[in-house]
Amino acid sequence: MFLAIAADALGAEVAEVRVEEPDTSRVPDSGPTVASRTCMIVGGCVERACRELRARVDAAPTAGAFRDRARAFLAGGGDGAVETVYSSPPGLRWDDERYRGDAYPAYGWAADVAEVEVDLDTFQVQVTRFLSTVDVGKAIQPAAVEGQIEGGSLQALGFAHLEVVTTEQGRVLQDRMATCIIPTTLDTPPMEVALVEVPYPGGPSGAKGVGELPMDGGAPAVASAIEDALGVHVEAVPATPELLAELWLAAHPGEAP
Amino acid sequence: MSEPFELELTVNGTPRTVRVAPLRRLLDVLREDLALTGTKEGCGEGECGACSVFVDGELVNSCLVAACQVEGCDVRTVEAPDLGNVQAAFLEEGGAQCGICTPGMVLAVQAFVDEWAARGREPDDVELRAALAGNLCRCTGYEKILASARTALRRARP
Amino acid sequence: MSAPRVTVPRSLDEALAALAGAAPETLLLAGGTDLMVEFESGRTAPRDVVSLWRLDELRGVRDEGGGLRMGALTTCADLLGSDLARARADVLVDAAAEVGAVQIQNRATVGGNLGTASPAADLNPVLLALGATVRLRSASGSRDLPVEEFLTGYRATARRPDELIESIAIPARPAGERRRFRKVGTRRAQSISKVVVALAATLADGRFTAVRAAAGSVAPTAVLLPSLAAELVGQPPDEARLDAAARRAARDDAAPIDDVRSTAAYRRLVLQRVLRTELGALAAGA
Repeated sequence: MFLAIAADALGAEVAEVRVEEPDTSRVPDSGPTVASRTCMIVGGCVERACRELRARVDAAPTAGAFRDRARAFLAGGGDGAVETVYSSPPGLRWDDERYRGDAYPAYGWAADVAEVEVDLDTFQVQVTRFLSTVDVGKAIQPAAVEGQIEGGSLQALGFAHLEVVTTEQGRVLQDRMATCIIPTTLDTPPMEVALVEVPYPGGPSGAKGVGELPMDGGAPAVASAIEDALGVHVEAVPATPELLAELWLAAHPGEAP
Repeated sequence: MSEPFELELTVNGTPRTVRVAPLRRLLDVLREDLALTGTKEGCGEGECGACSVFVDGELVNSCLVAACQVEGCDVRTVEAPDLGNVQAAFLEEGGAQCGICTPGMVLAVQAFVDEWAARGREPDDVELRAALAGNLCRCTGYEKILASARTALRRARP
Repeated sequence: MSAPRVTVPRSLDEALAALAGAAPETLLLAGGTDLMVEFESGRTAPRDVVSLWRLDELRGVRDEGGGLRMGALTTCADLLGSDLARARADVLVDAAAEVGAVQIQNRATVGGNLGTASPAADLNPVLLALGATVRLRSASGSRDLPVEEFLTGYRATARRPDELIESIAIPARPAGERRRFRKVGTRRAQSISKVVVALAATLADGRFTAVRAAAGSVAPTAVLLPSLAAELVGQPPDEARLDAAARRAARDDAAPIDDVRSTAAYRRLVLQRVLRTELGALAAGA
């Protein structure tokens, strides 16, 4: 992603960009360690730095590809190091001492729709369709952001009805993949993703954060769909078959064994 | 025998001999004794499929196969030279994301392609999903892996 | 903990000779889908292991008296690929399709399902419902046991230390017998069962003439459900009768527990509801 942002801002080829191993001793502070801000905040810094670098290179009267002009710029004693530091836009307050305030200048938004089937013998839930519409500001790499949304959404579907996590004296009981039940291909509906692009001017090409967004809507959507199917109020996730069986029997006492 | 024994097997077309304990997992023989680290250990208990390899043409979880059960066998791993069609499909469709399931997925897709390339009809969605149901992925939602499998199958057809 | 002694016989005779003087706790290793996990985790630390996997004499599916005889090392994949198995024991093939996924189906065996005797083994309830017998072989001879006598308790069987499972037989299908199988797992694949149900029944002149049913994951081992036959044989398949039979079997024939996968209450409820639905489908001729 940084490769694409940098290449775009420089007017260079993606293959000509290399990302150094991140090292906090060598880079300025980019703000608080909070969620889903790499693309928007760090990507924004990368974009601004690369634009500045391009402006310096472009100021020299040379022609040709960026790499050739950049070489000439450096050979002529030009300064190729640019440092950008994130600062909150005007009007946004963040207290780094107390870790309080508005960490985000802009948000991605999403709407999720789930369709489910519930087996009335076993109360197993099958999500049969899932649609996620996400405003990412700008899709820097559409296939990659779709993949992230599909994967995050599936994790949310697992969270919605499969992935029980319980503890006993502080130890997680589902400590193996045999007991931590994540969805297989057969538990997964076709994932339909629609990208909406309402740009945020502070993000690279308008991009906003998307990392954790796909985890947020899936479980409420599935719980609502189950409510619609069964006519019972689902107050907790994961809505396991065991939980749904209890809710169903409470609503239909005549069916108790 | 409780002592190590001379295990002879063929790995990706090359005859190999390693001295191993009889219950050593094929996964460890590949990764540690033969330095073929393309095969990944996910769960170590046959749930996730990350360690999938072919033994005599059958897809297995190499964490569940004992060294003493593969004497003389033909083993194919993700390092095998003839997986290009499937690998190209993964690249094209964006089928790899974080990558830990990918080696096992590539082999499971290869098994799917081998099974369906010669058949007279298309697999339906459930048949495709069932073929990959032994390979867990936490980060892609499977969508682009399934697309990779469809693309690889289409190209493998005469 | 010292490394186990492992014997890898090349023939059935070699295997029987190795078992003739075997220590009582010697473990027989087939496809490894259960035991390799046990070894690796250290939950099982055997002194002696005999690997049976290379014994081709224990493979193959063949006709026997209009029924089916399967070598102990017949895998789920072998069953899925066998037209004979499909024709003679369709519900067993259905069950094999729901064991794990491809990788597990390529290694998990019918003999291993029986020998491990896990309460959650998917094939065992089907073998019970179809009246299967287990052929045990030792250097001194062989004997056949009905599956219900072979499975004696939680991961316990009637196999003697000098014996191995040679094969399993399913008798010819009685005329008109209808069969159903249903697995309720933790998810749709790669799943350990919460409840497994297998039914075989015949109806004549509007009445049940024979009912044989079994369940898995609802007792220390796979069990027959005798209450169903007691309630139904000689009776017409009317709604109230099927309700009562399912209710009684779930109450009297099952002893489910709470564990990391589910609850006793859920298992008993679902056993009843699945039995009721499957009995209805069976009576309707499905």
